[in-house]
Amino acid sequence: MSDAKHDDHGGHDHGDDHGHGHGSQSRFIQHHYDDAQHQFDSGKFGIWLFLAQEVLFFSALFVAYVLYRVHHPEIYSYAHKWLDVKYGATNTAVLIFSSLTAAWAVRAAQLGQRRLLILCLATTIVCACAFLCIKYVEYHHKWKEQALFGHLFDPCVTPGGEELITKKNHCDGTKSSVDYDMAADKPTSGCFEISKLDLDPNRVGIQADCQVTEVQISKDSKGKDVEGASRPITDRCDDELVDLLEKIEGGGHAGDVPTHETAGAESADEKAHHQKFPCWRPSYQPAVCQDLTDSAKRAQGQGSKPTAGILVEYGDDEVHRDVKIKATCKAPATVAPVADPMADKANVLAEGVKAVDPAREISTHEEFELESLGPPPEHTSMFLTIYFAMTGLHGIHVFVGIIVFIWLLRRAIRGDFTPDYFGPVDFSALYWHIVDLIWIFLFPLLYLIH
Amino acid sequence: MATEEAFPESLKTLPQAPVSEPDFLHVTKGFKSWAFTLDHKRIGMMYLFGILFSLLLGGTFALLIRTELWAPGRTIVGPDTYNQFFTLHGAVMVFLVIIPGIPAALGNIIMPIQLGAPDVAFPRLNLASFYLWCSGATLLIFTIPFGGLDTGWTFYTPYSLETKTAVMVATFGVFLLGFSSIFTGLNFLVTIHKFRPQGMGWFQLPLNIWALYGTAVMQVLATPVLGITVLLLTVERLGHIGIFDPTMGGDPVLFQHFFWFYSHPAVYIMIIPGMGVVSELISVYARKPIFGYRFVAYSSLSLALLSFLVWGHHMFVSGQSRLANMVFSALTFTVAIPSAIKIFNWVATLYKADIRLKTGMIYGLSFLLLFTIGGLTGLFLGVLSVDVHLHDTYFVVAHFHYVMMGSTLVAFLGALHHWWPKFTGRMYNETVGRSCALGVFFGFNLTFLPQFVMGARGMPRRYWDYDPQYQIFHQLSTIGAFILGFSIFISVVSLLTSLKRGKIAPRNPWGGSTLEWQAPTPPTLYNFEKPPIVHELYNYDDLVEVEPDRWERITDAPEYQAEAKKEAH
Amino acid sequence: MPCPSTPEHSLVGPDLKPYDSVTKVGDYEVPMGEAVRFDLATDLTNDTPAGAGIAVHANTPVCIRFRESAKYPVHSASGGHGQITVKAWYDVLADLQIEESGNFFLPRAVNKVADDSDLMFMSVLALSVFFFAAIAGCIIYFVIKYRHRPGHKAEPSASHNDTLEITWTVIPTLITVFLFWYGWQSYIRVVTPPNQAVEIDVLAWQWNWQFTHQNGVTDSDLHVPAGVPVRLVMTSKDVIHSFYAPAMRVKQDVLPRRFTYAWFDATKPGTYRLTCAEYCGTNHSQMACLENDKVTGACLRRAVVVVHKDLAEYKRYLDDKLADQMKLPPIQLGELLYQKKGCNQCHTTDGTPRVGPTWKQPDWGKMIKMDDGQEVKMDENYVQESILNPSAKARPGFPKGTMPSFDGQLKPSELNGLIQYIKSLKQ
Repeated sequence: MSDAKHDDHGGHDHGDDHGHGHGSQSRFIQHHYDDAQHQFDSGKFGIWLFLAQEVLFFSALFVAYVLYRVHHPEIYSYAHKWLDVKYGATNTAVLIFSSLTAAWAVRAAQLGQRRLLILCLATTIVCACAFLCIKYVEYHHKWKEQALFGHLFDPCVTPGGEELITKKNHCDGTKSSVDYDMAADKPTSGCFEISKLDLDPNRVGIQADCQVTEVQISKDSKGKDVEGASRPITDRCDDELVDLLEKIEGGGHAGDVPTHETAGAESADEKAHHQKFPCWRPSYQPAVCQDLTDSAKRAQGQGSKPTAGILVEYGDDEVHRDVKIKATCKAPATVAPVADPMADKANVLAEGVKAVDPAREISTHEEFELESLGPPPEHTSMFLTIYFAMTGLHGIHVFVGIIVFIWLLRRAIRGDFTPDYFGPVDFSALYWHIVDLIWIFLFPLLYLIH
Repeated sequence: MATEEAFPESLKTLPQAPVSEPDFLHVTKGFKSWAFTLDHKRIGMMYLFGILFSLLLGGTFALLIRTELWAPGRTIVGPDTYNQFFTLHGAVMVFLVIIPGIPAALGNIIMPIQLGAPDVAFPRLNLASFYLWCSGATLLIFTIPFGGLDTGWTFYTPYSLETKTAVMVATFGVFLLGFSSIFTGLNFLVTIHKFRPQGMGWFQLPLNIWALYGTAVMQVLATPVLGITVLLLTVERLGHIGIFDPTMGGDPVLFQHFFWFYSHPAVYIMIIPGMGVVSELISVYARKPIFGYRFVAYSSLSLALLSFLVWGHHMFVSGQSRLANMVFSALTFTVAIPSAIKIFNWVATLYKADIRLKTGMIYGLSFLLLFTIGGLTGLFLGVLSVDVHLHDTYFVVAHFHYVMMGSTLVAFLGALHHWWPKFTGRMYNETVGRSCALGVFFGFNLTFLPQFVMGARGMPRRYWDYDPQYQIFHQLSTIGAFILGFSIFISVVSLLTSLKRGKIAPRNPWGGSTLEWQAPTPPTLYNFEKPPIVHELYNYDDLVEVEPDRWERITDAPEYQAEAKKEAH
Repeated sequence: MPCPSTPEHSLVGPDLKPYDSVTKVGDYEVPMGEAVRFDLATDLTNDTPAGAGIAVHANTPVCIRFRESAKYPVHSASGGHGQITVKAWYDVLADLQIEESGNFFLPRAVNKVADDSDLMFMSVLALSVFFFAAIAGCIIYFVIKYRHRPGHKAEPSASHNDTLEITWTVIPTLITVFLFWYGWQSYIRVVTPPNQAVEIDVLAWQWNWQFTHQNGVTDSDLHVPAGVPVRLVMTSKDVIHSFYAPAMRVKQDVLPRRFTYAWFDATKPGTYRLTCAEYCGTNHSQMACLENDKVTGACLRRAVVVVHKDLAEYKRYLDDKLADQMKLPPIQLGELLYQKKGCNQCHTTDGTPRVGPTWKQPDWGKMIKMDDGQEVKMDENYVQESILNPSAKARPGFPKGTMPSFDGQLKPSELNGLIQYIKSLKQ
């Protein structure tokens, strides 16, 4: 009881002098514990329970991993190639080393070696940060390749994140695309379905060369009907704007249309119009579309008819259905029959790449495809979903670990830890070991498939 | 020793309230002293008021549901609103009332005292749990202004992925509530392991503590799975990751597995604490030790462990394999055995007893009858071929209300009355308490017995509209629900008014032999003025009723003490 | 005097029996294919496009056999009005009162393998009642006998008794083993379909059922034969639903992108309830509701399971329903007849005249000139007259007598189809 006055740092705020005695050596022994050993034992039991909880928290993800892998092994063997074993292995090494320094920190705390303790804690923090940095590099890479989870999985985009036809580019919003029916030789305005998109050059229709020739808006940005607001597309945005204005406002400026250059600065009026009637651009490069949903049919050459897509930008306010787009396309050149898609891979690849985008490199995704695997199997995104869920959750744990270790470092520098009171270091190290352990399971499960 | 027997007059003058220091209610004052308190009793009381508020809210939804079902078609609201009513009723009652009801509120207040500990092992974690509960509850309730919630409390995918209501807010709320529950369980486990005083061996633990121990095991081991599941659902809503979405290759049934892996143990998280307090109630008011103490204690533990193995019985018709159905059906029946053992032991406790029908005992006996019905109707659902017919009908609704409400909530009310004088220092009105307890029992049965019949006749649950043949049953049920709601409301109001007007409560109003009755009323900050003495558990021989509703231990009389001292010399 | 014809089959509609006489104007449901005698005090005239309705005159009894399922609005000369709903016989069956017999707890089971599960239900019920009575009896007896009263005190008794504990552990264990085993056995029978079964595809979505039979017929009521095993192959378009036919004791969740199966072998013809048992959103309680109460929104007619008396009648349902579903919408029917009946040899649809006037009539609804100078409104009546009695009027340049009459060669629906087709060509 005599030592109760030492309790104020121990965290109970009652500040009274009553209570149970404990032969405390450290001022961090809380009032309701008998002694330092009692507090340490309780903490240790608590942290073990917490770790058990952590294991179960992750367990659901492991179960999901196993179930999907059992049901769809092809997804795993295809998609794991997006992961770079080099990064994974480096991270494993980094974490194992940090686990060592964490354990060493406990030893140092027990022996009262303050400097060593500080050094070990700092090393652990540095390693944890390194781990997260490498993780960031990996994530960034996937982001660029659009090798993401769920609907964001869209690896047909070119490397470097250039704007091509991606899922984000269709329907309501800033951009849309048009389907062009080769057989009927007429465009049908509509949304692009990502499932029909394929950049695989070894497909019929890759050379389709389309140009948007006309755009028509049926409603203005306020939803009012507009009659005949159409005109051919040119490359020049300013011309577009002016001409469109003319059409809609029934002329009036014929002859002396202020061009962007002559007007100097845009008047407020013009600005308003600019917002209201957006700038039209001609199409991007054509791309190949094919029904990817039924690979069996495709193998037999019975897939749906190939259609070409053309990307068009239009204003934020426009709704897709109010815009009609006309395009002309040259008939597609025939390519080798689909029955033997890999017959003369190299040649077709060269041709295809040229047609899609003369300047770009082949994406990792395409490389896999061409190497051996063909296009991604259905629901490939599931692997990436699980990858991001598991590594993301693990990453959050690493992040929390960094915060905890910074707190420990602060206390270590202040000299809080003594051979009698080193519980927090011990408990945090245990937490850090479980984080490490989980990664040791994640690494082979995700990176080392095969 | 009975009341009529002679007892030293000096017992009457023993102090009842704390002598040397203020009680925990008065030790500090002001908002901050409560908001930042680390005292388990204050945290428990804050939980209690939060839970009573949630009970009021959930009960209101229940009555709205029952009113709407008075007649087929629209009575007061349309189908969308009705769907939100039953979802919020379920979510509020399960996550905010019944799961934390006994462990977090009453357990927090009573368990450390009953154990003879000064506080729980981690007071700061305890406060953190409470604030997690508050945040979770706020989010869950805030779904109402932010688009409602119409998924059912089970959040089944893919409906929960496509509905336009505020599922994300709710699931994140449930995630926080889950961690509140995990931390409470962790805290209790460490407390029970490390804070038992001298003489308190594992088999001197009151059965209430055994039950809380089993509950805590489940809270720590099952709730994380719910945590990750609702977290994944939240992320799924946010970023369409596809893990449960069949259009992206996800498996909606996997969600059900994950959900029930938690939510089946959750049923036991709800019921086992109820069993614990009922063991206390029956023992105290029957003045007998619980018959077959060890069997009751072990059955709490075995229920806790078995509860992890039976989640699949919620999914007999969801398309899982027959082998899985067989295994889960077999395991489900094993759960019946410890439940039956408990019932038989409680009944045997009443043999040759001295039964005092206080409010707490009426609730305790109600529990016995209602839990028997709840348990027996569970047998129907465990039989595979019968479950095919009864699954997702009102039969199931009635069954789990008998277990969750008829048992757990009734036990909660009994426990609340039993321990109310201890932590508030005031006696409640016994007449009102008893009448309400009878009202609860009668109203409850009127509400849910007709639902068994409806369900067996094929009335599916979660129906806004129904065939006219069920109308009479629905109307009986609605009448019962209002009687039930009214009784609970009045009993809560009566308890609250006793805070101001109730008689000052003595140290031991019911003659309980467990340690909390040795603590002053209300207890001091660290519960005991002097270290408690562990007597033989549930032994009432030394206790005498010195005046109505005030018991003392004969050995506490100064004469005895003096004699004992002499002998020691 | 009943109608002279023999009924095609002896089905009974909710309002009218075959041979019933209609004596006043009102709402009636009439089974399709049945003759109904109209014997009216006041005139009953049709108010529908030509050919579709009824014209019955006062004091002239007439028997009419309805072959088209449709709704015919009718008016009487005295100003009354109503509607005669002609339904296909199988829809009449589906509209019949739902079978509600059974005991207090269970609806009557009509699935051959359901008896096992019902036996299990009743056994567990008996067991539960016994145990509840025993436990409640003990509690009440003890509470009365050992209640606290002056002078009464708790008597010492054993605090535990291992023999007793083991007894009441072993007995429930044996009972549960028994329950599990028989429940499992009956479950296996309930879920294992025989090799030979009528297979029906089930598609569920928010909020409807669609049952596709093997000849392609689709319906939102489930029609099955009695005495023959029926196997359902089920999937969902959107969320999880659950197929639940209480009288069959069959329940199975219906999942998106996955097939689940259920089967039953109905024993008794009749109309039985069919519900969705897995919560699926707003109208979960009104899945496949065909008719709502206008005030409360309560469902008056849900999709049902119709059990036909034998396989032959089920086949007849398949044929009749198929014939009904093959019926084209009027305009397409007209277009088809334009080819089939040879109209195209004399009439064009592009505005150019041939032997007869073109069918493309831009001035539909306006007055047009005839060769005798009179003006006639170009409308359904004129077109009908031109088809049935071509010589009544003639347009300039198209002499009378060229076109034969089609009176009697066209069914009312075909006539209506042609008129609608011509009308659709006006632009």
